[in-house]
Amino acid sequence: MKSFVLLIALVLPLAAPARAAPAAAVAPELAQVQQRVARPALLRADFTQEKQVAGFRNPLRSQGQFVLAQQRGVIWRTLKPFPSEVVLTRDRILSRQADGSIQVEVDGRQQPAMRAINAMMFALMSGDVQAMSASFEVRAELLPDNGWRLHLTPRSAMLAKAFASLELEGDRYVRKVEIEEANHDRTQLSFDNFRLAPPLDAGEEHSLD
Amino acid sequence: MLARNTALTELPEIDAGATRLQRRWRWVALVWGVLVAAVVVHQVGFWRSAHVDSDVLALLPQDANDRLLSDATRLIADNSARQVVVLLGSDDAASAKAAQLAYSRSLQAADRAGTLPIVENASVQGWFDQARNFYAPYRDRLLTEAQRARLRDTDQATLGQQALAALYGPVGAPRLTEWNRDPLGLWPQWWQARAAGTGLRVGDDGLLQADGRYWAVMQFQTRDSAFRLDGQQRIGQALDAAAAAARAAVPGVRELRAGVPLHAEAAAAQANREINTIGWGSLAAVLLLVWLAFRSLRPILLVAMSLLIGCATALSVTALVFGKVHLLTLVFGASLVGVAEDYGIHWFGSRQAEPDGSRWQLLRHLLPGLWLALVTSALAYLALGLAPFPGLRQMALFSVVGLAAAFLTVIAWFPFLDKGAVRQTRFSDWLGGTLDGWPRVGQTRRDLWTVLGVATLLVIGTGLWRVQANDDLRSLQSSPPALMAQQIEVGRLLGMPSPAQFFLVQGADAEQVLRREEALVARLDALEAQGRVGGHQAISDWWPSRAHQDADAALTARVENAVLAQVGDATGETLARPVYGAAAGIDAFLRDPVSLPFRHLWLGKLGNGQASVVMVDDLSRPDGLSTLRDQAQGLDGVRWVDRTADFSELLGHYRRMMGALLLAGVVLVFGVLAWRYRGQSWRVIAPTLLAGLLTVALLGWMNQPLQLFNVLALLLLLGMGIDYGIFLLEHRGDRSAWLSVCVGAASTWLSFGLLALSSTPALRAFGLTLLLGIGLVWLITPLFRPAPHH
Repeated sequence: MKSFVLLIALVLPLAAPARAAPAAAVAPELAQVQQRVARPALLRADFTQEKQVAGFRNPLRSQGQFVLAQQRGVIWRTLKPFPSEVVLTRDRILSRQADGSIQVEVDGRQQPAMRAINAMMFALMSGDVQAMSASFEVRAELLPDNGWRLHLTPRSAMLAKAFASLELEGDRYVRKVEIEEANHDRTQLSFDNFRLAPPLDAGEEHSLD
Repeated sequence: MLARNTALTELPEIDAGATRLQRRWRWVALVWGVLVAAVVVHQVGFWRSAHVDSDVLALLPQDANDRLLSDATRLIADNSARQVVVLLGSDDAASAKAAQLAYSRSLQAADRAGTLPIVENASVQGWFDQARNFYAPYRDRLLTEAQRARLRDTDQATLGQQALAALYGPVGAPRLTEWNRDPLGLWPQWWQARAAGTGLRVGDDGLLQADGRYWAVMQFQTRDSAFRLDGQQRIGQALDAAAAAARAAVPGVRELRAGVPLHAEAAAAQANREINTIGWGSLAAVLLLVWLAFRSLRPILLVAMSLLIGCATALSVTALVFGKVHLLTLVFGASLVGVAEDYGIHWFGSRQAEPDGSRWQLLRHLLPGLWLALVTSALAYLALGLAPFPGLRQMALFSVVGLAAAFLTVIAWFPFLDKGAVRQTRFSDWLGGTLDGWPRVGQTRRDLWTVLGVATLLVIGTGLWRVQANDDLRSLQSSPPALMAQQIEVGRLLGMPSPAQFFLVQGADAEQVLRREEALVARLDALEAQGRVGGHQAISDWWPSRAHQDADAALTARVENAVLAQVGDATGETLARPVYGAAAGIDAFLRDPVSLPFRHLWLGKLGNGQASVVMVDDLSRPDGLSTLRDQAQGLDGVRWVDRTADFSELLGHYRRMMGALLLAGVVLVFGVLAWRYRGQSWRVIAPTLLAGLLTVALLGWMNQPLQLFNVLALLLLLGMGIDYGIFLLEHRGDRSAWLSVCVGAASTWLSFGLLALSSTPALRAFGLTLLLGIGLVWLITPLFRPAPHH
């Protein structure tokens, strides 16, 4: 039995109790950042991503679009170099390839603690400082023109097994994210062309159900 | 008077015989003195390092038909014998952590003070890091069933696409290695499946989330050097102090404890209390009766000495024969005080009846009767040992040796030590005189006796009709209810497996065992997915069979090479699959400390082959047990074992067997009595039979279930109750015989009455049966006495 308690540790390197986070007192800078970030019901944007992965000489670059629907989930559509789609909902993370094959990456219904991953991704993409603070030590920096920068380090040893640190930059929206994983793989994301419309189309509605 | 006159006329001859006896008797007393000295020496050593056993399983029989099963059960029980688990629950994670910190600090302080008999186990984090390193070379041979299906059935190009998408995607499942060591992210899923089997909801930093609370889980192990069952609850007290500290830090924190050492400590403390109550209580009662009857110090000291020597010798011999003495034997043995006092009281009673007689003459006169009394009582106790329950055999041996030692002390030493005169007392006159006023059946008022008889039969008939048998093993369990409730709750929260129900998997060699286990686990997995059974623990989940490993290694090598080639093409990189470790047998796994949490599942060599167990948790579902039992069907080498059911069946079997033996005993005794007393024999057996029937009927009226221990008590009742009848028939109208019966019955009755206060259901049943039975025999026997001689 000991083993099982132990084992949980590993299994959920990403799991963080974001859902159940106590409403911690937020530092003044953080409160300011929180005020500056817009929380629209629906947000669309374009992204470019650059990943540095061990074993690859060159960075892996991709481009695409995402839709963030508060309370529903995120659809992450990579257009280049390969079309594919990742759908994050409260319950799971699904990926869909160009050939139509679907792969469940994480199923929160089987492993409820995994939901924390989704909660964290939501928080990152929508700039939800409060939710982020539950899992990360957040250092805020206010920039001119209503800008801000957040530096995140994992609060727990377990989360630290997955992430070394994260950095977010933005104004009304999150514009840049830099993730350094514990194995030193590095991901840089930048967002632009923010739009509050059009609403979810039928296909998107279906994906998020 | 008549007897004394005869004795006086024959004085010279008898005197010569008594003198010879006295000369010989010096040697008897001396030999017994040497033996008692040896017992004293042994006792000192015994109490220094108490070989006391509190395990309920130790009381139960080794399965004669299936040695393997007994061994397996023993191995499983041993594994959990030293573990203590503590859960601290609070409404939020931060306070659970704070409570844990306060708890640990309190225990650390106790540890520094050198009073802590337990140590906390290594941390969660440490184990996982170790395990990840250990498994890394074998990563390619560890797949879940779902992964196996996916790799086999999915088009390779699709798998390549999925790997590419994950590589380019914003987030994937957590990864445990560099990308090219696991391009499909298989390993985290394998670990996930290992955790999922437990149904645990553990979030960040190892806090368990259940029942709307956050629980900190702490595991401890007893230190051999400091763990003693001496009636002190050292672990309990240390945990109490720690819980108080946690509560001071976080008011409202909930503490739950579980673990065999806690139960053992509680059982020892309880047994300690009961031994004191029963032992000293009976001793005080016996000595009070002796004081009332003889009014001088010498009888009190000598009777007390015979009892102490009896108990000490019984303890030493039991320890020497069985190696360890069980707590319940001690509790039961404490009631012996009320039985073994008979010989001493008989001696003084006879001395009182013939104050002027020579002690050596008296000894010659008493010896045959005392021997007979010892033999009949010993036989009744030995009958307890007929059932092959080590616990009962211990109790039987303890009682027989105790009786014999008390008897030997009386006959070997009393003639030398009891030199003064024994006084007549008003109490003994009065008590002896009560016999004259006692009614006799059929003496007068026949109609009244008829009414009484019919009423008695009615009580017996309706009572017997109400009696229900119950062979639940839990009758041997005496843990405090609060501790049991916590044990059950912790078991439920942590998914701790039951040590009494499991699958036993056997095979010719380790590989065959693992393969058979995998067949079973596949069935269990399917049922678990449907929610029909709880989780399981199987070592093949952690170290699959060689066949499975090789197949999985071949599968991952083929698929991953293709995937890496495809991703390499798409990205223009050269991606090489790293080299993995060669296959290893389960020995390599078992040798590594990483396997420690699972090692108890591997029994190793058992009988002619190898064996393992698959343990299951959450047996609370109504059809859970039968569903699990069905899973072993049709699988070679796999057996469902339900020790609770086995033992309950065994208890039932011996209840019926001892019941038959009791009836046979009644017939046999009646035969012997009929040969000796002819037409009067019914006067001897009727009181005991009536008392026995009434006792069972009263148990029925009290809604007490009939179990093996009631039947055993009835056997003992037969052995003792008949004596009273014989006494009153042999010594018609003799007041001193009635005095002996009264004093003996009163003390026996008291000590079994005290045994009825025991918190162990089995001993309670035993005590209650004899409390009722002895009391009834005592009251009924004089009703059936013959008319006094004229």
